[in-house]
Amino acid sequence: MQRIDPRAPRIGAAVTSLISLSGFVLVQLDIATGLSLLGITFALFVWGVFLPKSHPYGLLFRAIRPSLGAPEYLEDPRPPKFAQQVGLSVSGIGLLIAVIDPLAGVLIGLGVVFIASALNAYFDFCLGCVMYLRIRRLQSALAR
Amino acid sequence: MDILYSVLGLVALTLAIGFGYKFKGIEALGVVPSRVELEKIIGVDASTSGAEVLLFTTELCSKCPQVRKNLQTKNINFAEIDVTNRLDLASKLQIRQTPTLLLIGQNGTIRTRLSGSITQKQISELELKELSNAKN
Repeated sequence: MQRIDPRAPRIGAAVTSLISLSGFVLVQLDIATGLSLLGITFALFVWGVFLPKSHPYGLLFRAIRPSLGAPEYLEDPRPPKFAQQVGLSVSGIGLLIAVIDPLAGVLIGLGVVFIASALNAYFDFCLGCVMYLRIRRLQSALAR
Repeated sequence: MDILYSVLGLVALTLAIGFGYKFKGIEALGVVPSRVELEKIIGVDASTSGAEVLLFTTELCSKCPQVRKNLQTKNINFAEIDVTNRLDLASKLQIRQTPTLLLIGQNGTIRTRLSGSITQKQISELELKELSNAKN
């Protein structure tokens, strides 16, 4: 399994936080713009889960990586993929809510995406690491 | 004005969680089993392996490699336990997230618990250096 530079997902998270915060603000001025940004966020998560190697965030990171120097360590690509799956679920739920109430759907979907991505990008806080064991326990309890 | 308040609220919530995480310090110890109980639970003989530090990880833990490297840099002798398929163990030791690091005291009980992105500074502050290979 090819290991990855851990700074790449954080840079992607920083871009996601900017897109989601923009959508969170703009939906309150124009619903269609906010919905479009939620759709773009959802599409980026789909891309990240199914075609991570060609993801635009990867291209962005490859462009700036020469100026960053070598990473201290490399990481397993599965945790960032799990984070993308969580983002996909959250933005997908936002889209489902938006079918009934567009404003609430965008605010909830992009609000949660913003919190998770900003924590990852600016605080190095891995929400997925906190959620993972809880999700596993829930899966285990449901399977019984 | 509503827009401003909603954005400020969202950003404030994010900052509160982020700074709360950064400055949370050491987690509550939770259960404190004896060495015999601990070794029975985890299946690792800490006394014979020389491991006084236990690092709990999962297969999808993005911060675990960083913490592993920080421990190795400090020459800390540690045993790593993947709890991905050992949820019973995670429950017994109240491992709520990974990485979680448990420092085992001389009497065999859990002396310190740290979780999240454990930095070299935190490791130094805890004086884990005492446990380094160099002093063994």
